[in-house]
Amino acid sequence: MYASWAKDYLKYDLCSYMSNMGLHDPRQDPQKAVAMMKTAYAKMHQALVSTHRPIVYSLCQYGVGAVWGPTHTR
Amino acid sequence: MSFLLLAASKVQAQSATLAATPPMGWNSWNHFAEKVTDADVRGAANFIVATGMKDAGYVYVNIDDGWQGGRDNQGNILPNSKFPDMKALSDYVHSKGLKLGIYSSPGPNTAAGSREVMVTSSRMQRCMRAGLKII
Repeated sequence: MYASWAKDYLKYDLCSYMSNMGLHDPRQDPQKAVAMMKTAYAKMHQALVSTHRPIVYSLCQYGVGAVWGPTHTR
Repeated sequence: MSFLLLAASKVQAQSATLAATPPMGWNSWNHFAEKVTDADVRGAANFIVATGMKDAGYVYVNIDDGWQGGRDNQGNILPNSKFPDMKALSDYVHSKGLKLGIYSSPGPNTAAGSREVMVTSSRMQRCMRAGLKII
């Protein structure tokens, strides 16, 4: 869909999905929440790859999981 | 904060590599928020060219939250009445030598609370496959 509109950039915003991840629930395992986030972003990543259109994929994820850290892999 | 994170998190999808340079441009959220229109985006594109920002490398014109208007019966997210023809808008921005960006979220609501953009990523993937057929 985004490719058919000839889009070049997608901002994918975690926003309300943070609630789905249980991020504000003290009973939630933080690692599980981060795993849910990675799964969601990976799915969209695969969808973008399957379009074969170069699209910048911008992850707006509010610092969850410290993706800027040296150990993060995509 | 989020701007910094955005700059740190760019991935070019096709080859799954990091963007060679930080993508530079404009995003509609800070000024227009959920009220952004097709005309606002065209105006921003014109302004970026007229002020020399394009020549300075600011080539992304990014529509943030507020463009969505429910779904069709295939599950594809539709633009709302503020964006009557997304492909025409894309063609216009490209005609200026700029690139066009868009916004979505994996969550049940976007930041602006658009309930109708309830998204599952697998459904989004189907949307995008369907979209490819009409290029």
